[in-house]
Amino acid sequence: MKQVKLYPKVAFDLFYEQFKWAIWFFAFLIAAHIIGIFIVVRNDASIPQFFVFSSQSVAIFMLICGIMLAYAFMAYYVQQGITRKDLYLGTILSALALALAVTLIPLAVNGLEHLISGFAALPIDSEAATLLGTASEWFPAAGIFFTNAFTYYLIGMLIGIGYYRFGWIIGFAFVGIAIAALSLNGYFLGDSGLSAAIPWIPHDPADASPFLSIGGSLLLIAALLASTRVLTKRISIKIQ
Amino acid sequence: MAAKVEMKNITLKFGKFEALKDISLTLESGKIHGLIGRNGAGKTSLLSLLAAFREPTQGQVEIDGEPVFENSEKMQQISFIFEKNYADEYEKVPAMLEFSERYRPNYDKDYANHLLKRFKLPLDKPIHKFSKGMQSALNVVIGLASRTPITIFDEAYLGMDAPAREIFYQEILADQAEHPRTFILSTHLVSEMDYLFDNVVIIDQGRLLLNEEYETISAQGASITGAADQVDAFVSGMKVLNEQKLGGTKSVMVYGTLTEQNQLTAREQGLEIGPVPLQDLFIHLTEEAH
Repeated sequence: MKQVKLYPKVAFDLFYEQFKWAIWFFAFLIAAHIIGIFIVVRNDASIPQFFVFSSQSVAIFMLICGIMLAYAFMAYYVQQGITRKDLYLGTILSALALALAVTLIPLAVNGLEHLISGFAALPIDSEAATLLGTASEWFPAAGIFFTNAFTYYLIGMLIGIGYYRFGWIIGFAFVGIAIAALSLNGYFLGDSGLSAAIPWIPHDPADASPFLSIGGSLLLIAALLASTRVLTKRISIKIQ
Repeated sequence: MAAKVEMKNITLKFGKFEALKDISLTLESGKIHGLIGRNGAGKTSLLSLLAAFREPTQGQVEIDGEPVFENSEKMQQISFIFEKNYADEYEKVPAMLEFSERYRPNYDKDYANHLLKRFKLPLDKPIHKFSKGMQSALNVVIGLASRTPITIFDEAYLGMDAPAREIFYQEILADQAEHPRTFILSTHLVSEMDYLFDNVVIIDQGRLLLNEEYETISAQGASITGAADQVDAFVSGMKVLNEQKLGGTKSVMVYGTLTEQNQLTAREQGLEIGPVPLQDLFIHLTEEAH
């Protein structure tokens, strides 16, 4: 059986399409940040630097991209003769690239802010501004940001696939699973806000132990990768 | 380039409902196959199995002897064109066609441009603003220009007006002459499209009723035209499918092959014998099965 490997092409196309969405998203986010700077200047307050400012919204953006995957792309690609396997591999590669892009863009904007604040007083939270101070600090921060973005995409993908495959009633169960996964992710990556809302998640932050943090996060990603693959491996494509 | 389709004991169930019941059929390569059946007969289900959109509950779908599901080489050879919901499609025609061009090895851009002109499709208008007929015409352009060895049109003409449908039929025949492939056309418009078919597959209530060459099928019945009383006498005892009367002349469609004796008698009586339209046979066969 001669198999044609089309996933690199799929990965590129999916990344390209979603990167266009990311450009729009960051255009609005940067505008919001600039407006925020003007507002806090008047109130004599300060605003978090862009890297911190964007972290929650980027995660939500990735979640939505993930949710849309099943509905926006799956039928199109299978109709063009792409196998579910190629589509899955392409999707994961494109999600990794997208997560990298949405990590690097805020870093770059942050660096720019840092440069500007060198000769103009910006009302940016000075404590967080040290994030770009030394390489030993920003590298783990970027790593967490990237892992968080990628995990949110996978969780979104799981929700979208759940709805697509099982309809809206069972789809709700996938939202429940997603909330649990988001809480675990928050716990592993030190976002105490979300995990505190879920009673069964321990309140002690996991970032006290890097082993638990990294190991747990990788395990969560592995579980998400496996479940999305199992759910799409032989999925029926709907004819609209 | 064309490919042969084989379905072996295909059953498809949705819960307890059996959409397809033990269907086995072979579709020869390089021919135009007409797939006809009443609403809900299982045409789209059958085609979605062939296009690897889903897996059969039982049985195997093969292209040139290889299973099609998740087979990247075979899936690349199939285009499944069906009525799509373009309500959220903000792209324009060139972007849509670019997608096919990237993924279909035999895609012919010049041919696509020729078809776009023939269907008079605007290139600068978002697809969601197209009329239904124009959206169908775009589907047809994608299906024809992709030149996949197996091209399936599942009622692709929906919403197209008569002149546009005529262009569709002409283009199928013209391209088939130059670049033969295996076409599968599912349709309700039997009387309008029957001249396209080399082979006809009729399914009813999930079962295969018939899979035969068009010539063989049209010989399964006859139309007898002549003076009303003579025609009535001639067809007495025969299975009448349909009859029309105009003044003293009557035309009756009968089911079953006429014997040589019958044909001789008809000629002696001055009765005219012609082929029976596929439409009448289709109606008869699907009614009989109920």
